[in-house]
Amino acid sequence: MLNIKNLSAEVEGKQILKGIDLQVNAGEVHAIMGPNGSGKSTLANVLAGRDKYTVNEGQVEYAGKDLLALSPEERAQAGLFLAFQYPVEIPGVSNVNFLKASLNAIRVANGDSAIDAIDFLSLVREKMSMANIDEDLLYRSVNEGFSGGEKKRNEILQMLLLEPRLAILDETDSGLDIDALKVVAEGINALRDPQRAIILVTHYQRLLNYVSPDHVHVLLDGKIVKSGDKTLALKLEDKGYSWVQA
Amino acid sequence: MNEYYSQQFAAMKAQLPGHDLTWLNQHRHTALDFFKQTGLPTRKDEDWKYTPVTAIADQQFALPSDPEVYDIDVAPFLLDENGFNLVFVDGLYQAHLSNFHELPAGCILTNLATALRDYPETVAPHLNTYLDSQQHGFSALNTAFMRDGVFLLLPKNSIVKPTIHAIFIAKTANTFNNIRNLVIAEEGSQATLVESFVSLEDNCYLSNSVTEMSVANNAVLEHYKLQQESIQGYHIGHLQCQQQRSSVVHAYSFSRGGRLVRSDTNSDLQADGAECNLYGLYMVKDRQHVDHHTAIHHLKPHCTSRENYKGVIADKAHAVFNGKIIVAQDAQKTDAMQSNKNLLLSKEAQVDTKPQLEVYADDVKCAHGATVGQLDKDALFYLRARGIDEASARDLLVRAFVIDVIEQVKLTALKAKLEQFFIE
Repeated sequence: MLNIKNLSAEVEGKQILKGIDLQVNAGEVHAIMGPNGSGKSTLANVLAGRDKYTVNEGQVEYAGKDLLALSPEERAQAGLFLAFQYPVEIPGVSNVNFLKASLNAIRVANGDSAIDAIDFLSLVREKMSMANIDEDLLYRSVNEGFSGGEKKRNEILQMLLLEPRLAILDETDSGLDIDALKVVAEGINALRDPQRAIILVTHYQRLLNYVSPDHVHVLLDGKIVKSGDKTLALKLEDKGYSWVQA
Repeated sequence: MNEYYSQQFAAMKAQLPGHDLTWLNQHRHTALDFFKQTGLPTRKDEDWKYTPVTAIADQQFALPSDPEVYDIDVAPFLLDENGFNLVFVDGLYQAHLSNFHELPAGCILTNLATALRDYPETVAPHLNTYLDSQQHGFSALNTAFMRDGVFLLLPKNSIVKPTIHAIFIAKTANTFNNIRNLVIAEEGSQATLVESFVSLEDNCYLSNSVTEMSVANNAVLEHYKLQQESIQGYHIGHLQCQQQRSSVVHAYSFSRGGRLVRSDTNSDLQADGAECNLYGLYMVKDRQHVDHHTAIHHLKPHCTSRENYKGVIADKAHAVFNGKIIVAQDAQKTDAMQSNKNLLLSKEAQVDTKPQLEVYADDVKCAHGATVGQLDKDALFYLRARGIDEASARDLLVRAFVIDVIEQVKLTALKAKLEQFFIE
């Protein structure tokens, strides 16, 4: 589904990604781990199309398409989803309008009809109970004044609602208490499907106790230096990143 | 130019409404004399520093002479069919296009020319009393040439529920429409006045409008201005309020049209406990120029003023905001807040914003703030990363920026129109 070849990217003149190779197939869950500044978030953002990063080498093929040639909205419409590490506050745009606009933009781009207000509300309520989100967050401005946990759960809600083919979660597990972490994990597990793929970008091994990855990769200084199965995550937890560096 | 308007005045003074009223002729002549000496303001005048009116000064606009009867479909401009609608075309009243309903006893709602004919003693103590017609050349010209507008008298404790909507339609190119409205709200009265400025074609013309509102003790007035002049049109507008004890004014200014627009809103809070709330929204593009000046004079204790103006400026458009709050020595316990926020949608868009606070009392609460910003790039990316195309994402963010001003609008029909006007 996703094939990354020799991907290099820079931000403000600083080279962050230095030749990433990664293949993700449908049905798989990959965890990308690494210390601060290793390039994990850059990789996630480059895949989603953030324009402050410049790709200076490499190719990314997604579902048979040249991903890097697509605009951020085209990527989303093609089923790619990024759960933001730092979800953005948008004062004046209600969460419910945002969610509906997003779902309908993706539906319409895929040749489906826009969903009406009533059907939307019953759908979003169902997903909200899965993401354990209070209904009053629907009517507040997007992420404005949300607690850290509420912001992360709001990302999970969007993921459940949009049902992406490829979900990339950028440190969605960071800064969560154990209950919120379980909600995030349940959301991810609910999405697991032979047709979908999931990339978990994470700093900590903790989430992987609840979501079992098929592959674990270690990112260091812009390169994947080690790949393995889920036992690799446990070793990392035990020995730290210096073990890989050595 | 000064010569031109003197000649025009001499030629048409016998046609002006109230030409047989000595007191009114005095007002007109004094104003004209002032204009002859000063002409139109220039950029040397501090209040016109960012708004050059040379393009207006260079043209000879024609003053409509004989009242004509126009057959125009006004339906697109209406807000509320159950309200009062007074229609003016090129500044001249069109009785057959207007409609009225039952009014409370003693209430007068008509056009100014009729009021000058039928109730001159009622009009005399108020007309040109609140406006300083020597403020600048435009207010002087308006007073010298005042032609018609709305006249509303609200007697003590009278309440007019339906909206009073004055629709000023610009039809003919090169006209100079001196619109003059007068509202006298006696003690405890209440009403809502909407002024719409619209055009039928993309003509060049000059709307020069003045509204005076006298707001007595405990009276409540809501005033809305919807400026949708032609993209070639010039608009100079002035709302002047004088407020007495515990009176309340809500004044909204919505500005979208016009090539060059200047809109002033002033209120003198002349007695304890008066409250003045000003809201404004301007959205300009291409090479439009829009200038809002507000001035609130806190003259007595315990008065409150609130001001929230927002602007969205695209392309090479230019917006100006100048908000003055003057707190007199006597005006202890004043509570004044002012905010002006601007959103620039292009690199060439321009805004000059200047809050001005002059405080001569020592026990007051005053705050003001002005911001100029661009669309939040992170928010734009967030929306696009959720499948929303760039143009729609920008629209959503612009809507988010302006919505709080629109939400302040109390008239449901107007709110819906504003959503179209500013958002769609």
